[in-house]
Amino acid sequence: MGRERPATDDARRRIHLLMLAPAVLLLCVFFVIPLLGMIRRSFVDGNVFANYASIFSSDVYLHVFLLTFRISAIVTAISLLLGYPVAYLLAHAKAGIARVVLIFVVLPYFTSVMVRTFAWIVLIGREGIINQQLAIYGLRLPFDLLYNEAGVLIGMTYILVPFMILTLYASMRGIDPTFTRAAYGLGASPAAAFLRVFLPLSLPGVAAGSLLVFILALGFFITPALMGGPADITLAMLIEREVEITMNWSFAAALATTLLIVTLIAFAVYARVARLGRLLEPLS
Amino acid sequence: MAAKPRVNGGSELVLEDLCKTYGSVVAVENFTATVAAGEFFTILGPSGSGKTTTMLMVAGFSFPSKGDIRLGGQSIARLPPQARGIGMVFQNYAVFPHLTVRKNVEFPLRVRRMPSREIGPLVDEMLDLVQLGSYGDRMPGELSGGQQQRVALARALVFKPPVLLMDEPLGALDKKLREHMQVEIRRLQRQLGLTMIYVTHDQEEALTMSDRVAIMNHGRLVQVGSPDDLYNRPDNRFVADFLGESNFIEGTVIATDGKAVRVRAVSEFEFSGATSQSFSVGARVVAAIRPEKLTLDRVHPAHTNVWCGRVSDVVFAGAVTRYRAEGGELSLSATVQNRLAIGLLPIGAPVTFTWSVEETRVFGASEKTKDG
Amino acid sequence: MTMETGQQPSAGTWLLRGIVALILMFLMTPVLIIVIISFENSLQLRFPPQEYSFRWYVRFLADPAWQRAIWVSLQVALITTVLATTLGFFAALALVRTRMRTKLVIYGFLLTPLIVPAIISAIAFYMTFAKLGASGSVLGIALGHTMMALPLVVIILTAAFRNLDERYEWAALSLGAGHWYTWSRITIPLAAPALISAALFAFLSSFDELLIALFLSGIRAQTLSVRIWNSLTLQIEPTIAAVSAFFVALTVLVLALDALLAYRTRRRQS
Repeated sequence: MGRERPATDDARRRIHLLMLAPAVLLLCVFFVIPLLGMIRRSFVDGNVFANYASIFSSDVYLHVFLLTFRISAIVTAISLLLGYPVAYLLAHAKAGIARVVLIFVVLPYFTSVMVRTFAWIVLIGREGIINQQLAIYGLRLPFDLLYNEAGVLIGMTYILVPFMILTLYASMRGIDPTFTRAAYGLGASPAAAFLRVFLPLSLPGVAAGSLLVFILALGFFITPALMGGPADITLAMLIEREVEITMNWSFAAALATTLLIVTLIAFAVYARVARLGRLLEPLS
Repeated sequence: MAAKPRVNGGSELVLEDLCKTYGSVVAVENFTATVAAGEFFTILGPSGSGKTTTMLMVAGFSFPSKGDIRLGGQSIARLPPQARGIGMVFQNYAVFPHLTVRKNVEFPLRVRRMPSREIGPLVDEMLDLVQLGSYGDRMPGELSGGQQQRVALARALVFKPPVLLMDEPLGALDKKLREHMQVEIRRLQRQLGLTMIYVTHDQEEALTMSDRVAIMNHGRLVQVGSPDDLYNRPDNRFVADFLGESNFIEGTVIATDGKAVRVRAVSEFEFSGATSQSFSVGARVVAAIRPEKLTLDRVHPAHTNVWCGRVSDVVFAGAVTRYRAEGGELSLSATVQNRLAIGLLPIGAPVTFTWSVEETRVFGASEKTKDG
Repeated sequence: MTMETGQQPSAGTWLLRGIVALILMFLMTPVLIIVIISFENSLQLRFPPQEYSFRWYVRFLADPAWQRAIWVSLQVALITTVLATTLGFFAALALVRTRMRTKLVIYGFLLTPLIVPAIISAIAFYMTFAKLGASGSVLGIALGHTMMALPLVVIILTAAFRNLDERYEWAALSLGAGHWYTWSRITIPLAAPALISAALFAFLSSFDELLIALFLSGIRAQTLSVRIWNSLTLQIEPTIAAVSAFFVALTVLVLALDALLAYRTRRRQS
């Protein structure tokens, strides 16, 4: 029986619009307009795409792009490897255990990125804690893990694994357990049931989670800046350098716009794969 | 902002040509009725009939696409709900869960900035009226459904509104409690002289409690009248079918005489019926006769309509027996009181049904039925 | 893998549990270590600490520069919380109760700050508002943080309002209450746990935020995050460990309060 709801009559609509106005206006003034301003700033009078030409013709900048992409891809892969088992366990655990496991995931997730990065600096530096402990046995880490690409990878993975776990968990929860049970019923071993039934069903979630983590990794600034070496410059670090040090705002804007476009495209793909329409469900 | 509380008694409510359309969907069409002051007026209909939409328009949660609503002479159709001063009890009571019973009932008075010393006695009086006198400090979560119902009622009445709306309030209660509450609500309404608009899909409720009932179907007002009017003199097939049960016989008018018509049905079966409409000879009509109006013999001199058939089904139901009989392509059912010790007729036995002209209601055959 | 089959957990299950345990340790250990070594007495950051003391906490809390930073962070976070929660409250309520067909578009629009990388939002904000006096301004930083916190608040509150029966608001209106009266006496009290939750996370997100605060920082407007950043890029000193532990404690506090609220809401519903 459908309960007849009143349509949006004029007075009600006006009230609702008034309620939405402050948030929408604020967002326009302090978010949208600055973004548009930034994009506009990336265009140079006279030679509109001058900045973009410099970016795409220069080896240096292309190197930064490639580095950023490569690091993001590796970090995504490792996060997936580490995150999948945890999400799998979470999806199949009883409520009590799941809650405990989630604490281990959620506490780091909500802790400041800087604090977490600092913790790794303390751990894996040359005089860091890991080396301290190994020194007791007369050992040492065979190679430097800090102030180089290794450090950046470790740090970024650490920050992004919780994202991966939570996204995979959310999607795995939606996988109907009767499929796996049916496989058991047909005589499959646990390993076969997993490989043939669960894993394929989890792939859309894997794609969505990986895209999300990749997008986040592209824009990373804090961790690479703190844990990388002089040669490890990500796109975000480059942008910051152009704003703060070189003060070449126009060029920085061009770099940022490029990153923005890549992010938006990747996000559009993500929205498709993750069927983001469901995020809007609270309203229907 | 809120309307001033009235001293006692209710006001007259006029609903004039109310229409509500959502895009291309017509939810309510040409609803016109005048509810007298102090009247218990029920809007009855199946799901989707538009009764809830009509009530929402009266309450102010939906603005009519066309038409007017006048309370005590003043038009309120364009006023927001909080300015209409109409009391309302919702289907799920909507008792505020974070306030005590007392604070719930106080709510409309506090909104009207009544001083505390005046509020106390009014709330006490209202709680006593709904028999929740000692429950003032309880939280709604501690109360049963019936008790929450009464809190909602007290809350809606405490500011003495001119009109009270109740939207299917008894649906969630069990049978005994429902019957008890029906009596309670009716008693309260009479005592306070309230103008009551009651919305329900339960015909028994509508018939037992109301002064008048408006039956709706597919957004239209199908018939308005007292329960007796509607039950014994239905104007159309839908009402005859919706309230209680009816036998329907289709036929053609072969003679008219002011108030009565002679109808010929299949197999040359002829009978006479009463009608409030006028028909010409040859018009296609439908007659409705309630099963309890049929008797098994010609005891009553008034039962001039006679029909013969053979018993096809017998159901003994304690106080009554329901017979189904077939004959001449017609199938009729009769509900007969088990007064005489004649025993049950066996299946296959010949039987005669008789009934009066007055209890045969005739209306046009083109009337829409419940399903179409 | 589940126990539903009634069998003993297989070797595979134990392997999985072992791997997950290791990964969880990987996640938690750095955070724990930071907190533990903040109690180390000597200048070297050692684990386990050889002597325990509150030395670095004293140094942290007694230093006027750090105190100013805490104060700035607090101000910014409070303004952010108030702004984001208030704006978010009205926006979320309107979105859930309205029948406008554009509501999904507006909802999506309010969530866009989540899509744009933080660095981009930060420099865009900076470039536009630095010259307008936002640089070094607590309010300026707070406005930037409000943009970032608003989507979070809206998501939390739309979920909460969807669970809050609209008929309570209708009942209040039918009894003569106007909108403000209804919102303050009915809607807000009934949605209080979600509101507090949203406020807590808005507060935490502002406190943790670095980029906008970094670009807009001036001598007088360094947030705690910015000060840590400056310390980290110059020289690692043990005080940073104490400050970090402070951040972790704040996170734990927020999560604990949120869990408590959720627990109490669950209990009240049953």
